[in-house]
Amino acid sequence: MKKTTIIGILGALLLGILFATSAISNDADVAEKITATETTSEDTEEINDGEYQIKSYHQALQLECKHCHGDGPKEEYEELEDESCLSCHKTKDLLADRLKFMDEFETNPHNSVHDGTSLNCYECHSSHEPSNNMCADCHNIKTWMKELE
Amino acid sequence: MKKTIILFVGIGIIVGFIMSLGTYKGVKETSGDKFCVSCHSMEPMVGVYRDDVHGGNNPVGIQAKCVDCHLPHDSLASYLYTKAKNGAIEVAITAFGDPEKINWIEKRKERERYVYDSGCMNCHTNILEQKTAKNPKQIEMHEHYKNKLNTKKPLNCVSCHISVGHHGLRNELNKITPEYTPVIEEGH
Repeated sequence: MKKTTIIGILGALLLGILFATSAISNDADVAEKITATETTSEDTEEINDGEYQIKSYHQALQLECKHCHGDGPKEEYEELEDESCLSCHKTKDLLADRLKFMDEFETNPHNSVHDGTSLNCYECHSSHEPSNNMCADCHNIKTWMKELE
Repeated sequence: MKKTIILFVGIGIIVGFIMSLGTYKGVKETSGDKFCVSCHSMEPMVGVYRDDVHGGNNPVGIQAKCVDCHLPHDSLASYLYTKAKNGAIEVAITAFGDPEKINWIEKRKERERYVYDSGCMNCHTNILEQKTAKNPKQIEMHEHYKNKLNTKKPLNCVSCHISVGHHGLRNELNKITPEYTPVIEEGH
């Protein structure tokens, strides 16, 4: 008698969990969606042994030469324009907006008091050599900026 | 005897149904911004989330809930387990720890730990199969993402989509704990 009670309740609980499962979850196909394609691209590590190393934040994304410079032969690679950076980094306005908290002291480098948002990326950032923070040419930036990589 | 079995199975089903309904309700009610912001320390995160596309600030008013991104969606078991585990940890930190002392700006660097791709993909179901996009770079970089799946170092959605869901969070957090206290130069 007691056994039947327990079995009855357990069975019912199981049924209940099944109900709840179908209610909460509709995720069976999500894992299926994430199926890897074959890795054919060259390894990022290879880039960083060579002459044209990339910065840690781009390394973290395992970017390869072609992602910025295209599929063409490497001998024909050229220095890129702002548009190439912005194909991932979106717009200069958005970049300025991300550092909006610096506007209060007029120290936002992406919305500079001198140049607004019009600066060229390369004024400060270099992808294959140490960057040069242009603000530091005239200002002591140590209290309001980190070192650029 | 047979009657009692049927009776108990019947009662059991009802009890089970009510309990699962309760669980469902409980899980649902503790999934959104209204619940999560009941912890004071979540105010900046929820604030900018409500202004974000994912928080409902879009032309069609669709809103992703906190747990849609911050819980795994690969199986119900891991969803519930992570929910229970994180919930217990977060309640403990709020009750006995000092959430005010947490450096939330630095915590953003750990985003790959607490944002789940399976969550993103639960809504953006076809994002990796798209053939056209307004910005062709999207296709190219998502292809890169696919290539890195099942490697030693897979990428995460938030590896690139840094502030997704919380646009302007760094600005908001700076109001509470400024990253810089600039010394204003004379003559300016």
